[in-house]
Amino acid sequence: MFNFNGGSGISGISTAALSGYAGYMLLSAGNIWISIGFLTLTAVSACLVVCTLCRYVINYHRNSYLLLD
Amino acid sequence: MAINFKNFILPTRATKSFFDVEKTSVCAIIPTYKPGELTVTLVEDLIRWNPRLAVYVVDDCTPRDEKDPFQIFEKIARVSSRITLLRTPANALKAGALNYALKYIFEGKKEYMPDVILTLDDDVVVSPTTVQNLVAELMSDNNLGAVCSQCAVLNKDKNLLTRLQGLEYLGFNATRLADEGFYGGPLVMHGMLTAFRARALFGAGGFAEKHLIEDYEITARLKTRGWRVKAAINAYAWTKVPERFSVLWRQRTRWSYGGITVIAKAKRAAPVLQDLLGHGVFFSTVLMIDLLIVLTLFGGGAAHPQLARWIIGLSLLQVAVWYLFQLWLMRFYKEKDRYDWVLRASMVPEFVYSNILTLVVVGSYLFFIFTMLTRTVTQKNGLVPQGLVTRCRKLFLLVGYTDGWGTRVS
Repeated sequence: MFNFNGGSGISGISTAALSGYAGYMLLSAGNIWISIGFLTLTAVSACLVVCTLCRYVINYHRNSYLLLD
Repeated sequence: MAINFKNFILPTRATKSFFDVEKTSVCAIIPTYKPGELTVTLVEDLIRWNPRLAVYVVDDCTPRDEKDPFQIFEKIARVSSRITLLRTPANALKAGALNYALKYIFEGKKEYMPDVILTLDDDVVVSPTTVQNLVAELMSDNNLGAVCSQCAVLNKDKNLLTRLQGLEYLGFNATRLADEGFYGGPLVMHGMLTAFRARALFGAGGFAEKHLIEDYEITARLKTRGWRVKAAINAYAWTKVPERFSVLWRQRTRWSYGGITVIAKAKRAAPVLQDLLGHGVFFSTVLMIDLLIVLTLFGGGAAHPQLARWIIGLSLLQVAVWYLFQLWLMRFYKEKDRYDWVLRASMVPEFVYSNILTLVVVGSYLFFIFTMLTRTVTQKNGLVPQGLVTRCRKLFLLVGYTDGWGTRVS
């Protein structure tokens, strides 16, 4: 489940876990620029996940006729 | 590189081309070293289910004193007259053995020019339709340079590690489908079973020898030359995966460090874009966390709870979406049983597995940086004591990192 990004060990979920941890740390200490940086990275990562899922769904429908053979 | 954001969501649609399946000539190359019974089964199946397929089995210089492998070669030779047995003059590893067969085909028999060349590992199991589905997909679009099979795990019931790899391979297949039509296609046309358009493979100059992962390397090179690649969702093949952690670790350090060398040598970003994005976001996050830790240690800055809550919320949303998708993917896992369901649903084993693999990638980057630095040091003699470099290299070797190996067949 966690190795979706191109088959490499580093995946959206590894990043999500790290970002979640960073968010937890930022609840008690931080800096506005670091907070904005983290939010941007988390948003980029989430966008990549959503885009990948969109492409999967589209390609699945385009290729589904092959599964009927 | 001009970034086409539309392509991130909407994959490029293939333009279908006409081809005559009866006139398509196909050959298969199986490099092998000390083959076992699985290789005989593979050759028998290929010959039985594909009446016009020519098969080249390349012995990568198996030692003459090994008795069993040569009995296997005798068995293979007896299967059909469509089989050609070749032997490399010296052990050349997988890419070298493949190139040896390519040279034999194209230089030795000029009157015969296959349209499609299949490359297979020698321990692969195929179904009756695997080859014809691969070839049909490849030839249906003139822009495709290679099409790989779906990969599944033959020995997934062996232990927890093989089950986790079975689930991981399911994810690999899904990734390849998601990447179809995205900047040239999936990252890697795997060495397990891929059909190459002969013209594309020869135009690219064959496989890179003495490379850690020749499959990623050739895929990147094909894409750089303008070819697209994809996976055929109806062409299944099964392979044996490592059953022990030490073997898996070594396999993954090779894949991971080899992948980084491909990224480093890529002339354009597009052929390795998925890795650039994944690794880029990951390391940026790690760097930011380091900054945050430093800041916390020195007691600087005020908290911004609202922003922090957004970050946590987005992260949890991402995990939730991914989790649901992975549960849905299980419908395509034909070999699954209740243990696989437990593994997937409980999340924890895959989380641990994934983070171990993440460590492998982090280690690969450290080794890559070390290798780059030591090369510079060697060029500017004496900047760093050689003893220190040797000790570091030994330490990397101890944990599985070296640049002195290639893909050993079998």
